[in-house]
Amino acid sequence: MQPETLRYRATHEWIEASGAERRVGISSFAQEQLGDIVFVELPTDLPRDVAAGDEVLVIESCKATSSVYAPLAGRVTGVNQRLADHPERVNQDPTGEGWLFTLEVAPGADESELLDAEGYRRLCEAEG
Amino acid sequence: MTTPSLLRTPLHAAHIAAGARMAPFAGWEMPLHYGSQIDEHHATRKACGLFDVSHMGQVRITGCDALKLVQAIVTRDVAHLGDGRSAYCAMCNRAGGLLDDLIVSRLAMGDYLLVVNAGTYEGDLAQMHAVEREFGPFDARIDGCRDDWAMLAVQGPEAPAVLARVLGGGLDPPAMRMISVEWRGQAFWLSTTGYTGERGAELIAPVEMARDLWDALMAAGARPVGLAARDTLRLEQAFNLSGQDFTAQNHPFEVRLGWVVDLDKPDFCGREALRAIRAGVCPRQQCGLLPEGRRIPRHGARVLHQGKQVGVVTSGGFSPTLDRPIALGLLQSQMVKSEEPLEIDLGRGATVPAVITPLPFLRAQPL
Repeated sequence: MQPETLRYRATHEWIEASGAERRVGISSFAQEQLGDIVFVELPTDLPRDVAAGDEVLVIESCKATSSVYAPLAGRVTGVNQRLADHPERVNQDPTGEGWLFTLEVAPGADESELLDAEGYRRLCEAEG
Repeated sequence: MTTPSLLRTPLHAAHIAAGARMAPFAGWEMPLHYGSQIDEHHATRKACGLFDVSHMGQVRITGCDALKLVQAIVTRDVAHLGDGRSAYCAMCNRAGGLLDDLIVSRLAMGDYLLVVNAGTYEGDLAQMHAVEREFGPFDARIDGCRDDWAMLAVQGPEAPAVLARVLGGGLDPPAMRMISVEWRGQAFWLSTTGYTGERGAELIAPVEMARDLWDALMAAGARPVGLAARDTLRLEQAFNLSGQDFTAQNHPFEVRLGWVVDLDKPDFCGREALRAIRAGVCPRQQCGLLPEGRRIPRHGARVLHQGKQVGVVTSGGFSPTLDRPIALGLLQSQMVKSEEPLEIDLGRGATVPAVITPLPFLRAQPL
């Protein structure tokens, strides 16, 4: 996925800009902050309905434990099973092979809080 | 509000050049990693890692009564230390609380070099002066000389070969020695100590030599390793981290440091309190914990037995060598002996079962 075409949440998740079922992951900035990722706790109780901002899964890096949140309201329909054996893919290709889960976005979900690539870049610069 | 400015080591530019991600640590701006802390960890276990540990604090104690003063400061009997010998030691307050762990080396008669932790350097110096006043007078002086020295650790099975390439062959002293080495006409100290459990040395060199030494060691095959991997390397060996696995609220016996307390040596700070503690029951004990699964308990996580807190994780992390999470905990002593099931609270309602394991987690090559 081209990072330029994605939408971003201020908590560093990305989501595909359009489609009924969209992939979600963490940004390159986020994976860099986390350092080596050693475990992605993939949810098993799927499908699961979530509100925007609900915790969907947990990532363990050597440095820290981090929650990944739903960028929009909807239904979590699937996870990237390849991360079970290769969590490092999130470091290597965060917006591609390292995607985390798929979200069926609720009709009428409020996307106004999401940032485009340029807005997200400014946020990252501010966070240093 | 202003951020207090961070201290920089003489190798700051070398870290930037090597692509380091820098982070604050104990008041210093230090390299956290150079890309992947896991790769750096493996490189140290399998080959040779190069660490900038210039943030560590050096204190020189010299004079006719230098030994007497050092003896009053540390809990271990260092009277037997000959020239060029080093000993791992602890220093305590009057209540027997652990202020720091440190390496004491005898450079010559009446001349000792103490290497203490970065975050405790100022406090340790104050404590040393307080001991000097209380137990003295001594014909000795205490010189905090951190700013004069850079310190580089060269660690790993290939460290002796890397050191030989740079410094010349035939230089492979056994562990816990401190020898003077000359390189390009300048002298520095080579200490066969470390914080990884691997073979190798720590080089204590004048600040102006640091960059040349760093570059020469890199050229000889050492790979730069940041503080993040240094932490997982020491955790696999269950080496305590001062300020994290113990503070002044802990005494040496409960964090497996009873072996550096010599109650029968001449008087030292904390002796009476430690004698009383030793005679009593030790309510808490440090132990190794293996959590189930791959979630990683962190410093401060509660250890539970049937829902009740029985201890706390003091260090938790991912062990690259064992490919699993590991943790050091401080637990109620009766829990350590029993085989009762334990759980670690990961926060947000998540807990993970854990079992007690013998330490160290890893047995690497002896030094």
